[in-house]
Amino acid sequence: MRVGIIGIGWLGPYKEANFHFQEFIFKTAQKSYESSGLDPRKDIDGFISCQEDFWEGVSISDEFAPDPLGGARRPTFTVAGDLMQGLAEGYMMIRSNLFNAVAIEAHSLVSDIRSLDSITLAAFDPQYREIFKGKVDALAAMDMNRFMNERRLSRGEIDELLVLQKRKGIKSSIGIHSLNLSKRDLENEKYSFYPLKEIDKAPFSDFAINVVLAKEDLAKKHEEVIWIDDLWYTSHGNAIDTAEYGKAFYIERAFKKLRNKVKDLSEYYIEVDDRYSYKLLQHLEAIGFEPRRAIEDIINDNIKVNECGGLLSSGQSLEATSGLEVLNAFLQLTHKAGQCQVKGLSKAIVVTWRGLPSFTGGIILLSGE
Amino acid sequence: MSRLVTNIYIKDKVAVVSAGMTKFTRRAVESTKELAWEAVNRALEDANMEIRDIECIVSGSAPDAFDGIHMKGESYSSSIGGSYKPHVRVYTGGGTGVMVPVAGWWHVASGLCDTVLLVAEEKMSPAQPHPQYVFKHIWDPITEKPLEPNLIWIFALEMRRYMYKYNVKKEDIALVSVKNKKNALDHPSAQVAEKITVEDVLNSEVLVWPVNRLDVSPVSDGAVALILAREKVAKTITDTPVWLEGIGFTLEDSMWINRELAYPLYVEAAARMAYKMAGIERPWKEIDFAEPYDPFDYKELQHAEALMLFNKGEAYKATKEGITERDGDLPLSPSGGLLGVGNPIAAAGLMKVAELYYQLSGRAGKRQVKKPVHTGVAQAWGDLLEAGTVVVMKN
Amino acid sequence: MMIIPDWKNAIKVSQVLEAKYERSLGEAYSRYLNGLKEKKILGTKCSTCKSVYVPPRIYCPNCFKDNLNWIEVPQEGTVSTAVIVYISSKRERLEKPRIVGVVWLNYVSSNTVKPAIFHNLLGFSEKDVIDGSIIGARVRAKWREESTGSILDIEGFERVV
Repeated sequence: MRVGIIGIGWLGPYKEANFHFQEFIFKTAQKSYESSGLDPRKDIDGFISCQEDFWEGVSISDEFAPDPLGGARRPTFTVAGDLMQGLAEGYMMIRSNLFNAVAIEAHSLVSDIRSLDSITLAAFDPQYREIFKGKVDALAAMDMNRFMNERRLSRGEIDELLVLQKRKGIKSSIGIHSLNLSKRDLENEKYSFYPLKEIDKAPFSDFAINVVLAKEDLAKKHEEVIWIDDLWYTSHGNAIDTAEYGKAFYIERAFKKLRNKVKDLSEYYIEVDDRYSYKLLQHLEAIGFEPRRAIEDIINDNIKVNECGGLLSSGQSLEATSGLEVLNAFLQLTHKAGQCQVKGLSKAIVVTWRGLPSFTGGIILLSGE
Repeated sequence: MSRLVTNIYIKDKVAVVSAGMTKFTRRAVESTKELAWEAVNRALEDANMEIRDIECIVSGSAPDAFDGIHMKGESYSSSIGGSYKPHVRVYTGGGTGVMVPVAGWWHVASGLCDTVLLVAEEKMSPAQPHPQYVFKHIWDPITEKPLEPNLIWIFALEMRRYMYKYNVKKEDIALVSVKNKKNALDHPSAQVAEKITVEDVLNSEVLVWPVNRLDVSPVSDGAVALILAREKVAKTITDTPVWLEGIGFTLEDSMWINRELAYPLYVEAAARMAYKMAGIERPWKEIDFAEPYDPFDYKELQHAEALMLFNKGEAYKATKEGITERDGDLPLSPSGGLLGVGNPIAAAGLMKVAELYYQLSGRAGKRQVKKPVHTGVAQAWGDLLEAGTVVVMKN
Repeated sequence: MMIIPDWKNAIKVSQVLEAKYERSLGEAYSRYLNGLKEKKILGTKCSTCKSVYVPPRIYCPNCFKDNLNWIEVPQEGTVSTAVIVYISSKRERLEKPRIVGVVWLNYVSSNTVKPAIFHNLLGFSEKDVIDGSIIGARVRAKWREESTGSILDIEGFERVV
């Protein structure tokens, strides 16, 4: 029994949104329900909010979830995870046959957080906090160093990729952090932790998204449906001492499970988490691409990856980041990507990640008609 | 085997095949991860399974602020076998413990997972100066926080309203605390089991009238784990699978002051959802025993009424007459509940679900209720008087 | 199985987690607090289902519409529930017990939602709470001299004799 996305609503990304979080969620939900043609008080029978207490600044963030979503006194709950995990729950809820339509939301008001580094550090195991204090991104740098070393990638090659991706965002309706850079400019950019440069990291954006899933016969009545063909994700928690560095092993494992569903990757539009520039290549590698070949293919436009600039151009948004990735793929499959539209592809593969210091990430397979 | 329930068609039933839990204590020496691991290990041993037999994991843990660890689910993930597997953490405040099996149900029923590990853990003790202080941040920052409320206020306000609306006295309510603490004497994980009297409750320190110290469950550390399996698989693991037949959950809006507090409509809504799925039309007749959430003694009464087991305001009469004792017609909290076993927020709810499993598989030992049981309901509650989560199980 | 049998002898590490936020108030709360500054209690009324919200919302959780109108509500109401507080949020004994409660304001809302304020209750004794006579009692907002635009601009709701 298939599950379809029949509506997506979103606000942002903004460099700084001036919303109260409940109003942010409400307005996004309104847009989503309108596009799905459903009344949340009657037609949607499950609501999921994806939030973490410390990003929200409220213990217990679940309390404020139902009303702005339209889920008050209806089946509503919170997933302490990102949008991808919420989508997975919604997907399972519909496949169980107990729910007809489920709405999943995630949002980030990063601009409200004054101690972002301290909170990110709090996600590290207490025994590592002294080491990474003020140096959270060093973890990404370590991973990047090993990756570049083992795949024999040069800093110059990463620079080339960065220039390309940042520029692609100029054509995107959500590319608020896009830049017209030259390789020269990059050579002068500061390193935060060698080999990671500050510019390798996608800046933070405020963003909210709401996705409505529906069961097959309900979705079929809708003029526009993007089907979720399958999804899987794996986790390794925040165990930085036992993680496998240099590769996106969590995606490799997820892809192993979905391998049979993906016959030919050239038929797919690919959107991967690139909140650190090298991650774009690392995530591509985990689904079967050789990194150096991949850079060439991207430069020569042989493969369609993050065509609207990815997170490097739209920014990253905490738990809603995977929402940006799903949105990009959705816009491509529904031919609404505007100037960065790819033609002729009716399938998409979305690769998501929860960000430092977590090793949780997954894959969503989408297809349009 | 397939069943038609109203308009939904469930292909495979979902069963609980084992359970395991740690002791509940005020201050565990074990770390969060060690507590969770211990519970998981016991559940695996109980099922004669290994961690590689588990395909998916659903966990629950309430406020990250207790441990001071952000993204807490990622933190204990590796200690519950969460490596290279999908692990999701669900969170509805106090309702989490029963939300975990609710989500676990659709992990199996969707066809995605054959076996699911359910874990709920809580380590409240790390928070300084006192775990209660963490609850400072659950309030609305504009309309409530400036008044410097304490979590006990909200329960006291609700208790006062309940007593007023249904004319129930403190001494009637105290009977629940007496019963549950006594029941807990037979629970191996119990933290605060003891024989007390109604006088002891009424004479204990008044915190926020009408709440006395012995009306309240304690701050606790603890973890509970259960294993779910698809029907075919369950039958290869155990001879006594207990079927998860109904799930329900609701979240009321956050404005608790705008509502009638005496009766939690949202718990009734969640119960109706679970009963409908389990094919139960007259719960007061068809439910053999129940584990309603009892962080405070009046809560057991209020929730038993919202679960439609008794008429509104009348559950206390059943308690007085001994109907809700283990040897009564409708035992409530035979485990000893939160009042007797302890209240590690998320783990407490799952402990109640574990009790359903133990009773329905005939493994509750000294706690086994006198009458033969076939259908049980467990319920948890959370947030600012908002969350209702319910599961119905049958053998 | 435990090597260290008790908590007192275990090694403990103290860590302080810094979490600071500066949040946008949003339209609903901004206007509510401005109203309080002018010694007014404002709310919003849903044009569709006629529910009245105090504290105000810009969307109706009941019918999920955002066509709400701003209204000023009376500052009188009745006590729906009240308690006597003996301990602080840090679990210490208070010098003087406080009486707090929920006041349902005198404005008809055509739903199970009642406009209400959670606040201190003034002019009542502990006995009033215990014997229940406080519930249903008429009360009126008592304002402080100074207005800062906070819920504490109201000192409490005092008994109307």
